[in-house]
Amino acid sequence: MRFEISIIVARKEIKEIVLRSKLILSMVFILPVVFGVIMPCVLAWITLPMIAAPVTGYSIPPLTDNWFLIPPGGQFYIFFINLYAGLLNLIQPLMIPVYIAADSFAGEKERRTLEPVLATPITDFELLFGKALTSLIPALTVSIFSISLSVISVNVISFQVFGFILYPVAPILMLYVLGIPLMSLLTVFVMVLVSSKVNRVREASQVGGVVITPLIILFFTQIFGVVELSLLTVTVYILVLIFAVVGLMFASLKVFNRQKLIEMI
Amino acid sequence: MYMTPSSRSVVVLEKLTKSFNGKIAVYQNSYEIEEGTIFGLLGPNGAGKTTTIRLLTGVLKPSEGDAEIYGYRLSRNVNVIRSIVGVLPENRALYDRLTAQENLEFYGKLYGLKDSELYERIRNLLAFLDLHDVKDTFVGKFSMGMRQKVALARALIHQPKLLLLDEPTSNLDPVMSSKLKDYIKELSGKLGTTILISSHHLAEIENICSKIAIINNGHVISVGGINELKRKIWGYREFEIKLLEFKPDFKKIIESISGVADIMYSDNKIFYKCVDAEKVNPPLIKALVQADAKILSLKETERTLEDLYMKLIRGE
Ligand SMILES: Nc1ncnc2c1ncn2[C@@H]1O[C@H](COP(=O)(O)OP(=O)(O)O)[C@@H](O)[C@H]1O
Ligand SMILES: [Mg+2]
Repeated sequence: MRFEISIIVARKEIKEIVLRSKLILSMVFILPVVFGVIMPCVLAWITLPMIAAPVTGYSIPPLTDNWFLIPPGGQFYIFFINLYAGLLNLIQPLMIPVYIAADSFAGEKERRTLEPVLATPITDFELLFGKALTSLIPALTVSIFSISLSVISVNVISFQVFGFILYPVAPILMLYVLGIPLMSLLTVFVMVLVSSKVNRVREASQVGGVVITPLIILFFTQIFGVVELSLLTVTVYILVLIFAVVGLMFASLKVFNRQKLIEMI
Repeated sequence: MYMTPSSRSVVVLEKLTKSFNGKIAVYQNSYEIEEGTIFGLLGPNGAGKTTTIRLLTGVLKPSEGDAEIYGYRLSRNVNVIRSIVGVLPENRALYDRLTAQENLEFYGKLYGLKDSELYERIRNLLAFLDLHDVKDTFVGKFSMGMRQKVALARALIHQPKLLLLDEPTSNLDPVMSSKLKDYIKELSGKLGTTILISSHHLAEIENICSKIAIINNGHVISVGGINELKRKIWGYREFEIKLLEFKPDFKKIIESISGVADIMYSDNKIFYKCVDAEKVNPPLIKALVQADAKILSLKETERTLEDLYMKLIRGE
């Protein structure tokens, strides 16, 4: 495994796929603004009245240190903002790799550009790793930006009311730190598998939308109170993700080898 | 192009076989390519040219058999082989959203070239192929001929010992095609690169290759030098001598040379056939000159490769 070869692949592809594609480049710039600033700000602001008129019937686990000093309306607000801002910021590391990896894997197939690459001494794994980096680097960069922006904008609005930083709470922070890299990797491997079956970038990115499913499951189980938003829940979720990523990685390695790849050029 | 006696075989195919779904696509029973020569792989569409090239670049894995390239075995040292083989694939496979320069940089780096060396090579290749002025243009905007040249430059970036060109002149206009052939010839002459060219286009092979293999349905029908092949197929070669003036006593001289057959005379021309021109022509010319014949020209009655090809492929 020559790490530098994977870097060469990733540098070339980021230039070719990310920086020279209007669709992807605009996603990379617009998503953090929309999902990281505008939507969290709007939510944080228009839901402020909830504090006075709380939604009833919810039992929310302690999310901050001073939890029992906060009135029910405030508790619900903290839960609500963390969940939605979290969802918005977790969509990006899932969706950005869908589009990049569709272009990187299915696109290479559609444009039939792989043969001379396979004729160089690169190994299958070096190539796969380079292509994974092509998706991961922009996805993680966008996530870091978007999360930072959302933390600033949400707290700027809520700090005057609460007097402490209410977002992100520990379970959401854990999702950000551990969940985002895993979810991006998961997307990449799903896209490797999808691209081995379809021949067009568009098809691949449409089918690739399925990666959003585990996030939607997590979100709705929280909203409907099926499971509590807690460090334990998130730990279980992360463990499931790790298993999924490892399983998908082995499946990807199986379809991503010269003998299989050449059939598509 | 002549092969020197010291030339060694640097590509040896040993029953190199590829089947797809149990059907044999290629069965390249033993032939060899000598160092520094231009070798032609000639056959109609679907004959197995592209598959053969993909086997030799280590992109496809042989189903059976093996090949030795510059002493390395496909079965054991495929990565070394990949580093000494350059390929111009059938679909040129360039990155349209990268410039010519960027395409070449990427491949140079994949082959492990150091920056200074890489940039120097790119400069030289771009100059050699007249691409310098367009080096920062996206390849997607290039004409077919320019794409072909960028793809050729890419195949050469790591100075391969063996260059495999899959139908290099297809889709090119005649001017561009002959220019590309000049580049290829120059390459072979300058660097001594061993070159294999595949083609279904007969004329291409005839005037650029010193040796060819004719394949059909994956099987090699015939291998050899072009003249050798012609002799093998027709069994003899035909010549025509043009004289300033014909004298009757030339007849006796010509008929006295052994190996000359089917002699015909017309005006100032003499036509004859022979099997082994190397043994027949020198003494014949010498005898004629000694008899004070004023020879204007000696030429071989050309049977084009087209004739040969048709005869082999269709059994005509
Ligand atoms: N990936 C593949 N799967 C199945 N059959 C193939 C594949 N590649 C080539 N073939 C078959 O192998 C034969 C030789 O093809 P090819 O090498 O492309 O011929 P050529 O380059 O001389 O036109 C053809 O019959 C073709 O259909
Ligand atoms: Mg072909």
